[in-house]
Amino acid sequence: MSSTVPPTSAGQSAARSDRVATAVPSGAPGKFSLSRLARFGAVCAQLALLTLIVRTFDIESAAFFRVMAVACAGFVLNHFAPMRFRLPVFALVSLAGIYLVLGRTNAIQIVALGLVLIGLAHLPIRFALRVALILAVGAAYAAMRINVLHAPVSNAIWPIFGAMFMFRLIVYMYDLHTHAAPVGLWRTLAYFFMLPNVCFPLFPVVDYKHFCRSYYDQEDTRIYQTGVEWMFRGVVQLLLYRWVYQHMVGPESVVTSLDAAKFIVSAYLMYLKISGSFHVIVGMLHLFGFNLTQANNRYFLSESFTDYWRRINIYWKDFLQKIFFNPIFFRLNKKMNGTAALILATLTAFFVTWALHSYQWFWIRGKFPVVWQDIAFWSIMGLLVLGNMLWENKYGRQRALKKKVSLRSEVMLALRTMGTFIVICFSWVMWSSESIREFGMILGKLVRFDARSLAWIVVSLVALGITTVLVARNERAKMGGGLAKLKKPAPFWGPAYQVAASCVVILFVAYAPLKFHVDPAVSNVVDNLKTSSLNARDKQMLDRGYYEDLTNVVRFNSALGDLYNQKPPNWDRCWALHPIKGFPDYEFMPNKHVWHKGAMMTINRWGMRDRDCELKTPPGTYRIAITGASHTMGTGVEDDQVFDNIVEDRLTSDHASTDHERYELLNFSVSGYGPVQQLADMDKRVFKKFEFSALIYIGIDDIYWVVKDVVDVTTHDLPMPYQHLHDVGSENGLTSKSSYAECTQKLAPHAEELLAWVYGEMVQRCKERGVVPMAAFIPHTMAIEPEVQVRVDRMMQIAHDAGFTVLDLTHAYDGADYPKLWIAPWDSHPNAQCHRMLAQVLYDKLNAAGL
Amino acid sequence: MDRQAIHDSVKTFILDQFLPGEDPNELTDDTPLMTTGILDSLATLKLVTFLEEKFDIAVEAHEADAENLNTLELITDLVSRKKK
Repeated sequence: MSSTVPPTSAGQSAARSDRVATAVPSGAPGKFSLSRLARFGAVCAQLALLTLIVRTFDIESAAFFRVMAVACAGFVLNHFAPMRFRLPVFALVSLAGIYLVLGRTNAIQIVALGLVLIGLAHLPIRFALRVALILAVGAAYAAMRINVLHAPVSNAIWPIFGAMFMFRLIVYMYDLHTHAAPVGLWRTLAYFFMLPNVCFPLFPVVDYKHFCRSYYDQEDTRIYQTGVEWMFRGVVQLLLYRWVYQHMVGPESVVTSLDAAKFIVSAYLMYLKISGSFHVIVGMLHLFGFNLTQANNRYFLSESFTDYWRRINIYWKDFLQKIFFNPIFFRLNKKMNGTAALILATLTAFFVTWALHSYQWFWIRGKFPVVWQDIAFWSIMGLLVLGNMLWENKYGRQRALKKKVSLRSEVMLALRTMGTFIVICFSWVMWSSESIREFGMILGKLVRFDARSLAWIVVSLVALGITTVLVARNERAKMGGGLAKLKKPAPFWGPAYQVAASCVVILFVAYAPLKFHVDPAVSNVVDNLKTSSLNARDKQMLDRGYYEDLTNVVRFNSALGDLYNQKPPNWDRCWALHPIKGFPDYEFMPNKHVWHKGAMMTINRWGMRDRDCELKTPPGTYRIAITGASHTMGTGVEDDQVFDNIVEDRLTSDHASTDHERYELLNFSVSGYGPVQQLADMDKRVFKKFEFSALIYIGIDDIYWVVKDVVDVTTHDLPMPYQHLHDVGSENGLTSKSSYAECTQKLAPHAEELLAWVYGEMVQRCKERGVVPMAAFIPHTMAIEPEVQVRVDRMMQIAHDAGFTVLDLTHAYDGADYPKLWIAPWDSHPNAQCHRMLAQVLYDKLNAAGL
Repeated sequence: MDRQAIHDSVKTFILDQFLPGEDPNELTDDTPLMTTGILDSLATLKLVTFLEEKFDIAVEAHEADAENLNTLELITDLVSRKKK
């Protein structure tokens, strides 16, 4: 590689934000002057406050806090290092960050794999050959990603490795080929392994040329100050995202027009997670002298689709334009007229956007999603932007340096912004919908306006329009100051005080409830903002996700998506299950011994996840049949760790008497079997084939699950085995063409009635056979909302009213730290510790019941 | 064509095409054009087409960026370099 070229001085500035470079080289004499030290100290103080906010509110992840800590230390080291050592310092700090976050082995793997690609990029051979070699090695890496090629490489590294190389390598090779920017060992290492990337699998596509040209192109403390301002902005956006996310409901909860409007806007507001993260990332890079542009710019105030495209993800737009749009347009423009070239280049750019987004998800999740939502979204966006561009090409676009703008123009600006916002919101909710029917259902609710809903919607849109006008006036005021104002350095102390004061306010709000009496409504909001727990909708999706391919969840960067991104490929696949005709439509295969979710699982000759047994009760044995779903089946724990085996052994050892030499608990639980499926399984095999004296039906949240069972049968067009349930579905207009959300909404009012019927049938079957009917209810493995607790209490009452002896096991996990009860961070099934706790409580209850 | 002529020609084009009605004195040599949105992607392509046709030069795709086109001064530098 050629030697490092010193950073350029201001004047040869790269793309800049609203701040203009001033020609003060950093590292020059004066670094230890009082004024520079004071400014540096101010930046350190703001950074410390921000780090405390990140810690207090548990922003992003534990890994991010570690990266913040490394950034703080690295920032001080970097600033006081001589200029010629700063790039190496940043590169080494970045590598240290990878080591601290991912561990030694993973860090070595990432760096080694990356160095191979970097080495290939600099081989002294023809450029085309280098590209071919990189593509070949890249294909090998892709094969490793999906375990087609087996290599001693951890699956955990791929999302981060992909984020580092999948796009930046393209840019790097382009700039190498066009000699656009200097290269050097430390610069290249810094570019690919840059510090914040280790905890952000979704990362802005930092342009290599811009990365080089922006390096200390302005006085250093001003670059740092911009950085902390953007980090603060990013943290605020992430907190706002968390608040919106926690209050976001599912489509089945959308009833009124206002609900629909909130749902639609919330879908768009989920992008705050990306824009917040990107602000933090780019801000952090500023701390090390990279005076990069901001990653997005007030995208909610876009006045047209081209404007939206320019604002939503500036780095992505620049990347597309540099690598694809411009080269394609320039080439086509020589062969055809400008308009045709523009159309083809634009459509190609959006096709590439779709393809590269799926390519990104390939590295993050190991799958290349081809889903209608992505195709529809990018097609619509491409056509809207193209239409806008053709319009602007023909009629021009209003720009202004200082020219006065009429009131009519401002009103039109407001209306355009409102219109653009509405269309973008619709596009986002379509993109996040599970089906076209669900999208249609939401729109259908939206247009059924009532006066209150309409008033709120109109007022909100008008507020948006007014905000746009005010912001535009402010921007013109800045621009209209003339050259003198543009050349004046951006203020330092004013923004510094603002950021510091705002951080102090946020921290005060966070800690005040601990010291002072604060209204519980306020303190609850603050406390909830301090946790990154799943919202109610995602908790249900987490349960559903084990039985359905929720690709949607992963594509949308929700908190649940983050968990899914950590999940190993094929985690959910159970090789012991096979599809069958009828209802339920799957069951265990007999005599299987398989690895599932981190544990060996044995299926006996009767298709039960249990020890072997006879159909008839052996002499001297007291038998209890247990039915349930995945929690009681023992997903993710070893055979002998499942609670029923623990109880069985304990009952036998503690209570063997002349009447009963031993006890047997026959576990008929199957993953995903809700109450209706369990009733059907009782009819099909439990009561039909086996002898037992007592039945324990085990449920968790059956009022929710009974509706899900009936909805699943309807939407998957399965044969409904019970006429009563079929009739309830028909009476409420459910068909196989209805969306999941629509079915759920229609059946929800009948949930208790459905559950009472199912429980009644179970009890009747027990009584007909002289079996003692018991129902045990086990807890969730996460904190539940008050309304869920109400549902749980109702469920137990319904079971009691139906004739069950109710065993309340819902306090079995009390006092435990919920996340430590899971079999994996992305899988909330109870682990071995949970099963021991459950076994203890069940044993106590059975003793008390006299069994 | 001397540098001043190039500069004046480019300035006139930008004012006519993208800033109609603006006071020409507001568009200075250092006014950022791309980073302020005056020259968006479409306008950049129009500008490049103009430069190529007016000054009989060839602008490569990778040269159509802020480093070469962000200010009047940079645009003039680019054309002057290409004319040599």
